[in-house]
Amino acid sequence: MQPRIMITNGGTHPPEKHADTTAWKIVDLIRVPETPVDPALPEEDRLAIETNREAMRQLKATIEPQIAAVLVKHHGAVQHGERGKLKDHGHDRLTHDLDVADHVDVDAVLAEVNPLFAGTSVAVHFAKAEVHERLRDILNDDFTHAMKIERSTHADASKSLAPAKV
Amino acid sequence: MAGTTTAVCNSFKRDATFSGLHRFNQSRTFTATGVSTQTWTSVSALTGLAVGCFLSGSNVAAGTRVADILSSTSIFVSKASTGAIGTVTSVGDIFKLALIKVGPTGTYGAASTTYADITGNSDEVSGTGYTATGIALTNVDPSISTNTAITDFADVSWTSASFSTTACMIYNTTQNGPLATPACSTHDFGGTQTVTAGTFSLVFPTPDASNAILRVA
Repeated sequence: MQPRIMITNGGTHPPEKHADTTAWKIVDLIRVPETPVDPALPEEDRLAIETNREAMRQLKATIEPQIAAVLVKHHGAVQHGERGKLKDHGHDRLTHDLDVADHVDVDAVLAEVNPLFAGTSVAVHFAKAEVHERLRDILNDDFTHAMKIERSTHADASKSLAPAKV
Repeated sequence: MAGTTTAVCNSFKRDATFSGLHRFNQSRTFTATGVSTQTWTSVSALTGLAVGCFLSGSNVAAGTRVADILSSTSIFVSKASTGAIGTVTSVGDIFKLALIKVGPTGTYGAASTTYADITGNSDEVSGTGYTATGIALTNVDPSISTNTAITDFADVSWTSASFSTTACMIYNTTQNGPLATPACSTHDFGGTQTVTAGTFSLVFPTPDASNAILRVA
C-alpha cells in the first residue's frame, strides 16, 4: 500500500520517467508471491516453487525496461502534443476535455506492448481480454496524468503574468 | 515517538466497514425525471449510487445528496430540483491527500483519527506549489480482488513546487459522522522527499489484494 514518488526538479517529468512508471504498473500485474514457502512441503517441492518464483522475478526485471522503451516515444508525443495545444489555445486549453486521443492511439500502443509478453510464462495471462482492459486503463490513466501535469504547469506560469489592462 | 507509520487508521476500518461513513464511488452520470421535486423517477442506472452520494447537474440544487433509494428506478434526494432535471452526475465523498513535513512533532499511523491531528501539531507541509489541506483525489470505484475489498485513486501531482515531505495522510473531507475530516490512512515515504521548482507526483500502487492503497481483507 505504498505510493511511488516521482520528482523532477526544474520542470515537468521527462517522458522517460513517465514511461518507467507506466512500465512499473504494467509489470506489477505479474504477481510473484513473497509469502514464505510452506516448510512442511518436501524439499524438492519447495525448491521448485522458489525456482519458479525467481524465474518470474527475472522475467519482470527483464521485461520492465523493454516496456518502458516502447512507451517513451508515446509519452513524449503526449507531452509535446499537449504543450503544442497549450501554445495554440493558451488558457482556453485548460477548459478542453482531457482526451489522450488528441495525442496518442492507446490501442496502437497496446499493440506494441503486447508482443513483449509472447513466448513468456505469462503470455496466456496477458492474452486475456480483462488484462488487456486493465492495460488499456493504465495507459489511458498515465497519458492523462501527463496531460494534467502540462496543463497545471502552464496554469502556474500564467499566475505570474500581470492581468491584462482594460 | 514522533513520525509516521504506514497504516490504515483503526477508526477508518471501523467506520468504513461497520458504519458506512466513507463512500469511494467514482464520478458517473445517469438520467432521471423530476421537476421541482425531491422524488426522482426513471433513474437510468443505480450503479455506483449510494445514500449520501453528491449529485450535480442542470436544475440540481447545490449540495444535493441521495437521501433514499426508493426502487430500482427511483430515488429521494435531500433537496428539491429547481426545475426539470436530465443528466445528473453523482460522486462519493471527497477525499484529500495532505503531506506531512520533515521532522513532525506528532505521531501518525493506525491511531490517527483526523486530518486535524496534523494541523494541530503544525505538521503539514508548507511551500511553493502546495496548498494547505492537501490535494483533492479522484475516486476510482471500489472493487474485489482475491477476497479483498480495495479502492484506488488517480495519480496526483504538484507542479512548479518547492517543498520537502516525509509522509502523507489520506482523509475524507466529507463529514458523515461525529468527526470532521476523518483520517483513512497514513503513508511513510521512507525518508525526506524534496522537490525544487519542479513536479512532485504521487503514483498509487497497483489496485489488487496485495498492493492497493486502501484494502480490507
